[in-house]
Amino acid sequence: MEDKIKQIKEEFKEKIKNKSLKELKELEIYFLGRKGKVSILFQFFKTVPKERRKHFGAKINELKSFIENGISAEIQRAESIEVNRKLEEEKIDVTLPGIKLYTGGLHILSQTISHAEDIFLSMGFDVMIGPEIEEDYYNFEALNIPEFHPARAMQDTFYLSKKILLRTQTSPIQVRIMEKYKPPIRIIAMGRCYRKDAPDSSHFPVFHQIEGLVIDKKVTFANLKGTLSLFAKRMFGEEVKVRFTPSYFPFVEPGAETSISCVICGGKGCSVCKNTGWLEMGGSGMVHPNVLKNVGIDPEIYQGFAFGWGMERIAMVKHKIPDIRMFYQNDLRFLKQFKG
Amino acid sequence: MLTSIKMLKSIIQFDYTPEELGEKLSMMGLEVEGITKVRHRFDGIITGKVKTIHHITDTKLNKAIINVGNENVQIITAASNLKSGDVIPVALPHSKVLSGADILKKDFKGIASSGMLCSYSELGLDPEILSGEEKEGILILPADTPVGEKIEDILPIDDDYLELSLLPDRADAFCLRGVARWIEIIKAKEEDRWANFSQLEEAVSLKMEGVTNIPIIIENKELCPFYSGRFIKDVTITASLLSLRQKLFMLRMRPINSVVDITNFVLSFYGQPLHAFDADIIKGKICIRPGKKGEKIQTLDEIERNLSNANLVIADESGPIAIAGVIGGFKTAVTEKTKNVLLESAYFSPRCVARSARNLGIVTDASAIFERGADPLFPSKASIIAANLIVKEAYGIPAKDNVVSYLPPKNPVNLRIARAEKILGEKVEKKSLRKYFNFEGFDFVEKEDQFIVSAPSFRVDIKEEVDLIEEIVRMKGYNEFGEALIVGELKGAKRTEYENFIWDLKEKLVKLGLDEIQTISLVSESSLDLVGYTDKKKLIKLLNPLSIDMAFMRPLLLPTTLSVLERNKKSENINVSIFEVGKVFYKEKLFKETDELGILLSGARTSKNYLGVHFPYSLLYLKGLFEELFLYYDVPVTFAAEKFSFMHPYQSAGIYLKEEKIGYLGTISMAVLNKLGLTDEVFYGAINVEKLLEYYGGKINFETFSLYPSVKRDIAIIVDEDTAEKDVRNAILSVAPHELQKIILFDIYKGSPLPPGKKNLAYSLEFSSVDKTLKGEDINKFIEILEKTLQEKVNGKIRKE
Repeated sequence: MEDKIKQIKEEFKEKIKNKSLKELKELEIYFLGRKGKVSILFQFFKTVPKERRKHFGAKINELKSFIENGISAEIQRAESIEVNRKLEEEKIDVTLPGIKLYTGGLHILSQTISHAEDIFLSMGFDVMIGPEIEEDYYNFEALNIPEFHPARAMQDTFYLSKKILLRTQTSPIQVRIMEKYKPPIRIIAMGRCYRKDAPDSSHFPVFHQIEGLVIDKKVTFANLKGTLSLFAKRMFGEEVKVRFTPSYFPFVEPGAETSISCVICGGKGCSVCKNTGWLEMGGSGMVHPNVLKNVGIDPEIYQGFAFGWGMERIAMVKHKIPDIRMFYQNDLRFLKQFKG
Repeated sequence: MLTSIKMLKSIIQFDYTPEELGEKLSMMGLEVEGITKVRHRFDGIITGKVKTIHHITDTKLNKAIINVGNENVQIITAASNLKSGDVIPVALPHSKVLSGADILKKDFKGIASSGMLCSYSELGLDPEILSGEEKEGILILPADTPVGEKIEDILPIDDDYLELSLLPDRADAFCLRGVARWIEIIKAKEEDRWANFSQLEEAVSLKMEGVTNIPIIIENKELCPFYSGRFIKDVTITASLLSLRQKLFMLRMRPINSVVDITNFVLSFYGQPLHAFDADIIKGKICIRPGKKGEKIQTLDEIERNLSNANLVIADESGPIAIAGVIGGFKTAVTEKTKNVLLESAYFSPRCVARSARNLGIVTDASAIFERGADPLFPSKASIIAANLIVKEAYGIPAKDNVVSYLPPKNPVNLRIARAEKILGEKVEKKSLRKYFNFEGFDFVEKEDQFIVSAPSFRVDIKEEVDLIEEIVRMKGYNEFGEALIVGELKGAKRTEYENFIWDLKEKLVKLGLDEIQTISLVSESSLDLVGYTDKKKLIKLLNPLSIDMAFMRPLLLPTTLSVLERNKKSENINVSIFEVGKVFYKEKLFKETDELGILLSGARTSKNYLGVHFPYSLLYLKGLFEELFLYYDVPVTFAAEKFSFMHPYQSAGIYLKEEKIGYLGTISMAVLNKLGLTDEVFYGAINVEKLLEYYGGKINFETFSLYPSVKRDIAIIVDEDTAEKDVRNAILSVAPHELQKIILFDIYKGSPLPPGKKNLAYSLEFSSVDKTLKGEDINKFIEILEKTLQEKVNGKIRKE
């Protein structure tokens, strides 16, 4: 009997080596099944003298649990090999390109407009809009540009009828606001404008303008410069400076052309700024008393400043876009560069 | 305007380089856009006088004997415009002409030629500033040109020009002397002294004989406050002499004849437009009056023009002989035959000349100056300057002029120091004001805290107090002022509700995977025809379009969106999913504008990939985008099959909000795509954005949702093939309990084993309750009712396993 147990144990030790999961299941039956080697031992049990039974009983149970533990350890080992093999089969080359859905984006002009609006909102300016089809009165006359005024030639205008036109600036919004609200007024007027300019790299018959208007009792020339300077810093970077040169717009006096230090060369002079170190951005000045009188605001009590910059120009300078027509061609290779 | 530095230097001394001068003038408000430098590019060409000229028989050549100073040379020339006495440019052997070729001594059929005679092109002269005669054949120089001189010493070719871009308020700088005055202001400022303009004035006196007898009547003194007519008799009109020719050359004026040249010189040098009439053609008295309807005049450019009361005219008894301040008449023009001249020097009101020029659609040098504002006090002096020149150039004998003047006195302008300080935001010292006004040559009187300022008469931009405040800024320097931020109440700045809505909409569309485009709002008629736009009565046409491609305001976004697609397909951008939110325009008694949203899809949401996962755009994908949008804005929208000329007839629908049509969508028809040369399917839809906003509450309230497990039930419904899915869905919804949370169509099947003409719609229904766990039995009752309803409403049956 003792030999038998020893023999089975040896056989098990021999057979258990390097078996697959399936073979292990078979081994389990072979040794531990109802008719398995170990079960058969119990049949011999009857032939064993009573006083030895306890001893052999313990021996057989020892053998049984040895085999049980052995098999279950081997099953665990085999299972983990099996799982690993399966996982290996599922290997993905992580260097493959990912699968992408196309995502959308806002037009760079919208992004720039939104940015500009946010900057002025942070400075307490309300954002106002108005009609693109305007009356001659709001676009010109109320702004101190009567009929036949030579300044009309500065803005070639599309007409729909004798007195109705496509606005050449967003100033008519300012006039409408001044008619409607009492000072203090602090607004920007944003929107699409039209001028009869043949398309080239810097002109397009359609463009967008941001105009600012501030009217209060103590709004000064220094405030104009401070406001535009802060806007320029927020839009183009902290190092940017603003410069004024004398200019003429009938609705402001003193009137100025506003430039920023060239963002390409930092003011040293390059081809973009034509070696001047400065980039012209638009007009500005102190609101002409006649404009205030036209909307019923007393210029002896109230005063203020106004400015108007082109949004395309701002975006072109900020993103180094060489040609204004690109905004309206909408080539996806252009649009997709400005994710937003 | 090109301004000659050489000529500026002839009247005012300065040491600035052209670049420095350009910068200084720009900072004064005379913008210099660039500097043009011209240098002669020939060598050794001198002036010679034709002594004799003879034709050589049996040739096309002439033999000329030319005196070149200390010798006579023989030159063979093909030119036929020469006569003895003409002074011409001569290129002697070893000189260089523009082409760079060396001139050599040559023989023509045995006759020696010691050089060549030059035309303007061999000298590289700008034909724009030459007379017709000067451009024909050999260049003939003024008769008093000395012989044997270098051409570059005779014609002021070597010069630098400032390219001035003058703003409308710088009327005083529209002439050479005006620019010189600003140089004097710059110098006065730098040297801290009073600007002395008198050095730029000529002392003028005129030897006169008799008086001008032609009567002058001004009908409207506001339109013409000053008119001087001067009779000059016995003129001999020829080409101008050298000194005047040189001045015209620098002023870039084309010579015509001496008298016309003189008027042009006074215009561009002194800024005073003049006009010379042939006095013998004038009939009776002269009247300055508005034109009459039906009146016509042939102007100097030989164009017949119709006049109206928008034009102020100079008329004699026969009718208009000139359009005041704009252009003269052809009939009374001064020619070489003219014996007696009437010289006009006047001041016309800016608005009157602007209106007249605008009405005729012409701009002349004279009208440009008058409409910006000429110096009202200069015409008398200008007449004397011009008359003196006519004496010199054309040997005329001037009479005393006949003057009619209604010029009002120019009032001085008050400047309150406190006002200037309030506008500028800093202290303004009296001491500084004195300096500034001195620099500009203004007269002033100080009275307590005011300055009473009289600017020179040519400073027409100084009209009111604020104009003087600008001069403070100009003289102190625009960049010498500090920066300060605005101080005021914080009110909580905002965008308008409408703009917030538009930004929100755009962001939503971007989240849906679309790229925003911005297209031009001006379109061509053909682009509208392409999409079958027929509502031409509503179309808005520009009165003055830039071109036929941009003649109309767009009534819909489709045409420009299609051209964006066309462009992208050409650039091989195959997958296009774009939207635009933009204004569209129409006429409905008044001109109207409203915002439209257009979405266009073509291609797929993914590029080709190794997994074979492809997501092609389709009409129903597009519909899904719109549905997502309407769900987002919580607006009750329905789609109904509808045909459009530019859409596939069976793949298009109208979009309705309640009963009102707010848009459409569909598959663009092959016919349209073929015309655009496009092959891929294109899906397009558009809605009126303002309608969306009308219904949109703008605020979202929380709704409770079930915390209990849901019950799912799949049902298959067999209906006739042409039954609209919407009707089946509505039938389900009409009897569904409120616990029905989701209804998903997951399969559409036709074919065996279904009978022909039938289709199977498979729905997955999901039920849940906010207050209990639902059981299967709760649903069974609904299915029973549904069975009956489907039978009644859509002739449908629930398919049983």
